[in-house]
Amino acid sequence: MKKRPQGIEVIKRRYGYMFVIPWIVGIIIFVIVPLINSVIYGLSDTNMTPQGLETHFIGFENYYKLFAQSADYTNLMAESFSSLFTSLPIIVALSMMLALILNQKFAGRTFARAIFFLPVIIGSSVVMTKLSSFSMQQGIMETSGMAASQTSSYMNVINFSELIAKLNLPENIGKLITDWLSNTFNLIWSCGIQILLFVAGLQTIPEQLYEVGRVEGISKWEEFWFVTVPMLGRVILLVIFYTIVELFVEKSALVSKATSLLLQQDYSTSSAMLWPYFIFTEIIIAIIVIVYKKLLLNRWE
Amino acid sequence: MVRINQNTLHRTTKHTTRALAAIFRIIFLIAFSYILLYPVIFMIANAIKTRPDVMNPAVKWISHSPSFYSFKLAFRGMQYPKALRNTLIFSILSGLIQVFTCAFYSYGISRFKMKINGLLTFFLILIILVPDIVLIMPRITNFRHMDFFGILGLISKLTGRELRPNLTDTLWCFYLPSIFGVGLKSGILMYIYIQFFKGLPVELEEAAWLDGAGPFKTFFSIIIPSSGVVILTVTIFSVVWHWNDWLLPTMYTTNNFTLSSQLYNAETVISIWARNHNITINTTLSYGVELCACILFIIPPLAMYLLMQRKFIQSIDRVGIVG
Repeated sequence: MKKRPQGIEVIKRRYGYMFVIPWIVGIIIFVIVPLINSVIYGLSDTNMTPQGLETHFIGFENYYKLFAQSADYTNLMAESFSSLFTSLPIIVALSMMLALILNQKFAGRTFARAIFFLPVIIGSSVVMTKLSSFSMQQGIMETSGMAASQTSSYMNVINFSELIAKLNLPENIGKLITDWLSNTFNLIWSCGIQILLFVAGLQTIPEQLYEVGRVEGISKWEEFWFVTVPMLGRVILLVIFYTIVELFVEKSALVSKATSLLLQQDYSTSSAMLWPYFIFTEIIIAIIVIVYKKLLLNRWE
Repeated sequence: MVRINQNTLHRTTKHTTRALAAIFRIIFLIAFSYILLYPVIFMIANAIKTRPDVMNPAVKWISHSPSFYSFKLAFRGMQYPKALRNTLIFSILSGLIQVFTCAFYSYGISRFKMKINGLLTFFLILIILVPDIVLIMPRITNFRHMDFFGILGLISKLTGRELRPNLTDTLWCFYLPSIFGVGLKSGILMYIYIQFFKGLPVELEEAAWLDGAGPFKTFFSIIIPSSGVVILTVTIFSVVWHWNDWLLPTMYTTNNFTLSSQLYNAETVISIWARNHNITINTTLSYGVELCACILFIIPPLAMYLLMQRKFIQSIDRVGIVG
């Protein structure tokens, strides 16, 4: 016979339900029902009336329109995914490096940290979108000769194209490097939370492990790969996870297109646009998480 | 003899590597600080420029004839006081509600062994993953006829009276999700809380339990006071994310604009205001005005951050996120 928990266990469990039941109610009302509704919108023709949203079921017509009638959608999707894959490794590596530096003890550390957590406060907001759009406006102004002085812009903190041009590289490679470098510099702005997560994670590594390493006489390089990285394993996973979600929501061309459609009250197309993208992203996250767990985490723990 | 030589050699190389590391660190930090401070300096430098400055190729950073006229325009064009008040009432308050409710639910998830723990983890991952943009429209239609599991709707059908309240354009659009712990980015906040609660020693709670305190009393008088660090971190995240979010205010409200939604539509908002007040704004000026709007937008969170910066960074050191 199976042993049933008794006494305090049962009471505790009951209290646990009391803690979480409101949350479950919230999830059902504000997440699961809207998700189902969103699928329905994607499959129907919506019309905003004073009484509310009218939906007529039309099957997969919205999806057919998106995929078959023009190449816009597939292009946007490809663009979003390629930016996801180029940004993700850079963000993870950069934020880890910066966190390691900020975690060392040196004069002016508080000041450096204060600057590096600045993106947490003002990054990922309307301000950044505004600034990058300004630099585009400036580009237009410059070409029309309106404001020659304002060559400085947010997007090109350092003018890489000039530097690369001096190196006399083949044109394609030069362009590739320029793009990659300026992209990297923009990505520093999206590292805020990630640096923070890494710094917090670094605090949990017990000092004894490093001491053991020092007694054994390992180099800094080995210390990094055999102590720090394995101990940060789960934090790295969290950072990857968070970065994908953030890139998916905020920095993707497709989502901003869908948002503008939403603001124009075209709900069905916007839902239809988001769903395939959403599902693909989830599949990618699942694959990354599973591969990472199987290949690395299991070995480290 | 040979041994001693090796030791000194070893020591000198160690010294050089350390010095090199310090130099590398300084260069690295300065370069990155430059990149991070650049937009802020850029905003301030360009916001006070006037038309002669823009046309003058010698002026890059420091304006020759600075003017604060665009600040005035931005302040009045955005209707700053009203927008700030709305932001505080709608966004910030719902952010603060979320700080508390998420702590409550996270405690329930992390401390009690229940049969549905697997399901709860699934829900948590779900709310971290699902972006607001997917949910926002269905939520609005839901708010139009607010209902809980169709109970109110059923009663209305039976009695013939409309009982389902219309919540659009009210505070409840913001507060209700926060109260139920499914507000803006609540998944991440709950995740941080859960990690922290799992690290707290159980003994304290057991002692309280033996002394006859119920779980709610334990939560309020033991857990909340001993998790000040994590509460500070979560508060900053929640408040900042709410402050920066423009999508929810734009979608949920029509007349009650917030700062973020005003900034998002700054160009239209300010030009409409200027037309109503017979003020002409040319291209250069409108550019400066928008930058001023950006500065006005980031001043409050920046001030808050500078005030709490030391505490915040200390708390980050102590929260210890284990993934």
